[in-house]
Amino acid sequence: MKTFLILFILLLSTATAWCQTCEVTGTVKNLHNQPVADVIVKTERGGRSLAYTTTDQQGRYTLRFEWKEEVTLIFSHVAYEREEIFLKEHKGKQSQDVILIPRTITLREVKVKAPSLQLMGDTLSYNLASFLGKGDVTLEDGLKRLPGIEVSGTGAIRYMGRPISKFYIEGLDMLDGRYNLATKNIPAEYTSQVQVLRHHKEKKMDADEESANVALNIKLTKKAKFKPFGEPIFGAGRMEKKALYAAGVTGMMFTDNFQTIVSAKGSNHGDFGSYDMIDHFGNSNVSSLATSKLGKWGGGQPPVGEYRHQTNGYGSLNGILKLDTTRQVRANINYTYEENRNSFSTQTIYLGEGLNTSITETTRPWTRLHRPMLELKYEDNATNHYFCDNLRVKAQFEENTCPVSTFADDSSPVITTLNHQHRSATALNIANNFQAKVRIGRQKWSLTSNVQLQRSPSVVLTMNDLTEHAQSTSLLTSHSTAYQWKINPQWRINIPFDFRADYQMVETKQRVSGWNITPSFYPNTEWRSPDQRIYISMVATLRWLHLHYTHCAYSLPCLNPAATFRYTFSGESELRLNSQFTTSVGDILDLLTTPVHTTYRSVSAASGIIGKQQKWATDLNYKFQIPYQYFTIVANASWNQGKRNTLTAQTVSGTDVANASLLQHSHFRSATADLSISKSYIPIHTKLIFKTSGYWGTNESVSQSLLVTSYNYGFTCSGEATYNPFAWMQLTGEGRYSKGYTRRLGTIDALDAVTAIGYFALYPIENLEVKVNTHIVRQQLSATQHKSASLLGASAQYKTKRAVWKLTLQNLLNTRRYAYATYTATDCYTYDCHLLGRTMMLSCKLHLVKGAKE
Amino acid sequence: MKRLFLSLLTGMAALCGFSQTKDSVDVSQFTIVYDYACNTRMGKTGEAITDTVRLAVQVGTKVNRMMEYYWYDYFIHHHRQEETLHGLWSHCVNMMPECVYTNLPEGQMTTREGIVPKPYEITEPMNTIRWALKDDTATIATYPCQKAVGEFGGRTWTVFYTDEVPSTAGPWKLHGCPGLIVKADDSEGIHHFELNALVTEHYPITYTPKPDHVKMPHDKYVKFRNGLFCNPRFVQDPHYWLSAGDNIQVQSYMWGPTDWVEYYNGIYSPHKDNVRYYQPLELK
Repeated sequence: MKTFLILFILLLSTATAWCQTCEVTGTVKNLHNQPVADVIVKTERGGRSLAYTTTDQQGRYTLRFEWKEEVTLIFSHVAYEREEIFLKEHKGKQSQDVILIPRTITLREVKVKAPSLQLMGDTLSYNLASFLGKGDVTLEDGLKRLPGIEVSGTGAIRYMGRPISKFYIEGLDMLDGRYNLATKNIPAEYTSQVQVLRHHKEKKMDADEESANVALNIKLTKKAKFKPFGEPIFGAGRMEKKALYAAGVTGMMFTDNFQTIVSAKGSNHGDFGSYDMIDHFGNSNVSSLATSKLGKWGGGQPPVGEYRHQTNGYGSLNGILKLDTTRQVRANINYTYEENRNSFSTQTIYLGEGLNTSITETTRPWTRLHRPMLELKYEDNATNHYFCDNLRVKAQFEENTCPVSTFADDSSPVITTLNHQHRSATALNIANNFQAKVRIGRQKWSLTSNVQLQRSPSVVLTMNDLTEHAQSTSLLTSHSTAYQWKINPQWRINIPFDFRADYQMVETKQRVSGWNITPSFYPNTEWRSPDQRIYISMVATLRWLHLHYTHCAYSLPCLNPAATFRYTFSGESELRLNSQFTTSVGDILDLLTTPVHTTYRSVSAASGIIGKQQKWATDLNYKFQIPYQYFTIVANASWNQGKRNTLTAQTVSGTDVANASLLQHSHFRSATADLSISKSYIPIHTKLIFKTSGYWGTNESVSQSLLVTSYNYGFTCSGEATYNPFAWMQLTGEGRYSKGYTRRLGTIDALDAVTAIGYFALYPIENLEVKVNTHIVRQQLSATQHKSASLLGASAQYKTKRAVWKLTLQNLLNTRRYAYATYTATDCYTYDCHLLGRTMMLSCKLHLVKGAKE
Repeated sequence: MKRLFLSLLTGMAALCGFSQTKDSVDVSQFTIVYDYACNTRMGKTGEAITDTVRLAVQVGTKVNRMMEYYWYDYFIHHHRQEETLHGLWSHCVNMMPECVYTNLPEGQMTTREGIVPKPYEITEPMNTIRWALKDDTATIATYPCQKAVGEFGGRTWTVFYTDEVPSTAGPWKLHGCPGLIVKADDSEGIHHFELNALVTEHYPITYTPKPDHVKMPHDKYVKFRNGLFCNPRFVQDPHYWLSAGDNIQVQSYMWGPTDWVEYYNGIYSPHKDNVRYYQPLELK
């Protein structure tokens, strides 16, 4: 019985197998009876492949598969028509020979997406040509197109929300923070690649150190290298009844070892003659104690429209020479001239005790400044040592007038008083920075020495019959040395020591001078996990402040801890947390107790107490990026809280305002959060950006002897889209909505604003761009009042190989006023700014290359 | 004399033309562009990074050739000679072969790559990968695709193929699916290939014999290469196996503000400052 059962089971299983397995064999040939190799032979049911094989060099195939029900036997090859045989019955083994008919290949193509993105570790390389739009002329135009990169209205470049720390051209840093000179003058077509250097370390020997910096390196095409080329530009136009002009010339040369940019521009309209000289790293700022105390008068800057009459110009000579693979010398000589004037009306409401005080004024500030600057830099940047010496000499000669008309009341057009105000200020800065760093095995030694002289021989304010004088001298010295020991690949310790000795003197109606001597010791340690995903750093800063000023001796030891935590999920996403406790103290200006007039109706007097502030600040940052899908997310959150030993106090009496500091503790807290998402669709030249942010903060101050705790909170949402539906059309739209609240003393003031910006560009023929842009704003001025403004502009640009012609029309609707409101802790300011009228400008930018032929 | 000179010139031109024809082993029917991404770590800092390289695969009637897209673009679209291109090439950084021929010689695959100080040409049998077809489907790069899983070179690969393009081609050495491979990932999440583009381009697939290339059995070569590059000393000194007596000519190029590119006897070698941990595509 047992034997019978086994035999039965065996028979049953064999029968089942015979029933299910099917084998098809055969040969595939073409019309010439030649075997066809690499033909895909497969069975398919309901669109799903079940089994497959390919033919060998002799065109033979054998396909086995499980038979369940009818299947289609398919023969496919790129160069032949597809052949299908329907197998209805299960025959176990069967033969199917097939003859294929040749066909012309008609594959559905997929075009190369962004043929220009390379990711090599921390370096992201964009091939700029692939991203350029038809109307793009300069490198700056091209940068605006790149995913993850933003270029602000002043030309500042940010990558994933972080400002760049260095701007290189072919690996050389010629311009420092004045990189507008390159982005505005190098033609986009001369740039082959834009490299984003993430986690950038400017010192080669620091390659293994932590850095969150981002730098940009511009790679030029061959035609931009080894021969000089120039970009003269000329323009003429008309605004209201005034003739406009613009003229400039820029010459450039880039070789492997030498680079230079020489440029001069001048104009009496817009920022044509000053834009290139904007220093994004702040190294061109010229400051002094006297100019800080008696600051210049300006006024509200409306967020839209041209509101200033400007005349500006500059001359710039920049060169960098690479002496060998590590050493280089750089020289920058710049001179900037700026003159501008504008006018606006303000209504200021000061919080009063039971009764608010309102003042209405019309202000017409005018400023003229000359700013010469010389910078020399020597750098030796090797993998085992770093030496650098940087000398900067800069000066600023400034003249400022600010006539202010006041009115009898808010609604009266009758001027009651015309107040004259005049300011002249001179400031000189000379600074030398020396750095030396050496690596010996796992140890690094560094020495840094900074010496800076800030001198302001004269600042004079004349306000009606009042005159204020100030002068100041500061000699700021800071010397530090550090030792770093890399115990193992995970652990390292740093032991830096810093000694600061500053002599400061400031004189207004009162003269104060003295020394600030502060030794600091800030040992820190860093740890990385073996897989490098986790990074933790901790520092404890020990400072001992010694202030020895006239009639004031102040000493304060302080301990400031800080910690950083970074977690890298993958090469695409990263989380970073920073938290630090800081103690900051005031300066010599806190001792100027004698009241000083800073405007015709404002008096400022310091408390005579050295201010002290203690603050905890925590930042959380998350970044996610998929470069090949041009998708980025950046999210940030921060929290600050702290206290000060002084309280700012404001007293308004009639139209006079007195500001002072009281010896009373005050507290502050604030929180911010923002999110930015960007996505680019390269085949249709589309870039989408969405941003949102929120803030909350509280502060304390005294107004009219009343302690005021104010709360500010609000949010902003914005979206931006650039879309190319057709090759001859481009649409760009931006929308922004913001709402802000200020709450104090039981009242809440809310302000909202809606902004819409649109660009519509047409390319009717090659090289011609016709563009129309509009800017619409609706802002809330008070609880019941909103005000709208619309601006319309147009331009036409025609490009030839040698020249770019551009006709620009601005403010076609002749909108002459723009109003907006802002709140501070205790006051409300409503501005009504005067805008420039209809403007027309025709410009021509030539492109000169030595040896180039049309 | 002038006639003789002209005849000589014509002869030389004909020779050049002959040599080009001689080197052509097939004509491409279409070209596939793949993006390859490799997740690894920096040798110096250990920081997690992703390197990418764009690859072009010329698909002929018999032979396929894969190379870096930028080289392909340079040679094919800009009609440049196949000269040595110095620079920081992505395929070098990724330690990807210079080129891979499938079905050349017939039934075999040929790979060219360099290990300082010598170039190598390795031939291996074109063993068909046994792909297990799965029911999962997806649309990738606009093509409807089906999933398949197979083993190759000691790694498990998950691929998506499209039968809309009836070709067994794929990126690198991956091939043999019942349709073009559109996307491929290894099971460890280290290597990733994805189709970027497909264009119909008919250009010669050339193969110039290079006698200076060292030939070695495939299994032995993989063991030799992985032994060198996977050694912990590699990230400390990327050519630690060289000795002082080796006759090697080193050429260095500056690439970017802090990156160096070095060629040893014309073969790319990572600089110790930017060497990555080697992630072999083949484990055996």
